[in-house]
Amino acid sequence: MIIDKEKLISLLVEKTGSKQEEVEEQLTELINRIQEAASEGKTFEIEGFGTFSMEDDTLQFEPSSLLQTEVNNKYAGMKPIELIGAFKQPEGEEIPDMIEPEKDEEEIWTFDEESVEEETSTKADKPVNKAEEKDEVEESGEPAIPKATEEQPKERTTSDDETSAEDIGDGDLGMLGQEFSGDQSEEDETEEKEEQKKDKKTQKVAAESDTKSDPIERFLMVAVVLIAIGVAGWFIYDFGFNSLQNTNSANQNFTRQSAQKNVQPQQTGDLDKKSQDQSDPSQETGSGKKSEPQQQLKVTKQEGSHSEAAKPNNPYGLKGTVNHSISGYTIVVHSLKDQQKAEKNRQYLQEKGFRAIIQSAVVNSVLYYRVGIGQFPTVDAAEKTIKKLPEPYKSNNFIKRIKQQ
Amino acid sequence: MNKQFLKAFSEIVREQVVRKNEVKVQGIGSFQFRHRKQFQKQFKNGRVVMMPPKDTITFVPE
Repeated sequence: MIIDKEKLISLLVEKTGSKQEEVEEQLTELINRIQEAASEGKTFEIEGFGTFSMEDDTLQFEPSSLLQTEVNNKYAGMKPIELIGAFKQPEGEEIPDMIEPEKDEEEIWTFDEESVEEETSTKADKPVNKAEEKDEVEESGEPAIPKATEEQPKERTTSDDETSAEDIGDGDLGMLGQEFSGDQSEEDETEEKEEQKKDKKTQKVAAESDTKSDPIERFLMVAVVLIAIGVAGWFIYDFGFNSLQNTNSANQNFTRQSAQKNVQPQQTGDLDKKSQDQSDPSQETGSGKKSEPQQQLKVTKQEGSHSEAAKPNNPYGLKGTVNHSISGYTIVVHSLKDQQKAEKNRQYLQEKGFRAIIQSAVVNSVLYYRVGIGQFPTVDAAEKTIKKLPEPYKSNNFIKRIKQQ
Repeated sequence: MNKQFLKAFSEIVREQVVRKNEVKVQGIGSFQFRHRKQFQKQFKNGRVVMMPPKDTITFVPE
């Protein structure tokens, strides 16, 4: 909708409440004043509305801030939002600080591509400080490079840039340099580690990565070495040298156990006491531990079965006849209160070829007759034999020391 | 031309412009309403900002 002069006047009349002629008069006066000011090159300001001015022979109007905000009330308070992801490289020449390092880098790269071979050759020959390097570049550059005269000043400046960039440290530039393989990494390396000049690309890259990840890698290496030593030590302890002392330690274990259990046999019956008189302390343990025979299996772990098998005239064994002259261990497969039943079982086992022994024992003041098979020099040998036994005996048995009658 | 008239004039122009009406003042020009959409603006240093939309009053001289 267009508000023309008539409508404007009617609205003004409505607003001010004054007469139409008065309003028309006022409006024409306003227009005249504005035109006058414009023609004189002056500005005409209406307070809270804006400023009229004459620019380039045309009347211009600059709304006041009050008018601007009132017109823009719908979007008042909205501010520009920074779009971080939408960062684009500016195209123009004039670029503020952030971009300048990249420029430097580009110069470095170009410098490297052009003259890296020549420089590395000079450096590979002699470890020299940087001033000398530059001199050498100059000297060797003249014959080597076709455009020597033109490129010398360039090289100097760029090399200065480069050294400064490297002096900054192994920071961003160094990281970037690492990513560039080939000539670039070689260049960096020759300056950083002048002692390792003869190394080729792969070695150098590896060396650089070493230096980068130094603390973590060292820590990991130390940890791995420690773990390896620990595991090796455990293996040696468990399987290697310990086997030499097996018999001794086993005996020690047994005597210790017997010392602990010495109290129990006092409570047992007469039969036991007799046997105790005859037997040594280690045998007492056998009679002492009647209540939980299964525990005895775990008392010691020993070798010795092979010795049993090796000797042809072995007094020990699972089968054969009982050798009463020797002591040792037997595998108890029956433990019965009834002597006759025990004897039956013993005979049955004897028929099957086992060495069957009956041993009496008092458990909780009850006399048991234990039927054992085999005679073994050590508990370990007995345990190994248990694994080869037929099923009813294999799963239900315990090892006892044989009491000499 | 008193203050009251000027105040009334500026208020009327503003009201009509906000209603998107064009106010023609014979001898000077016309006041118009303009809407500007939001747009992306990039500074020279590479920063990109989204400028909010804006309603403005513009003056078109005769």
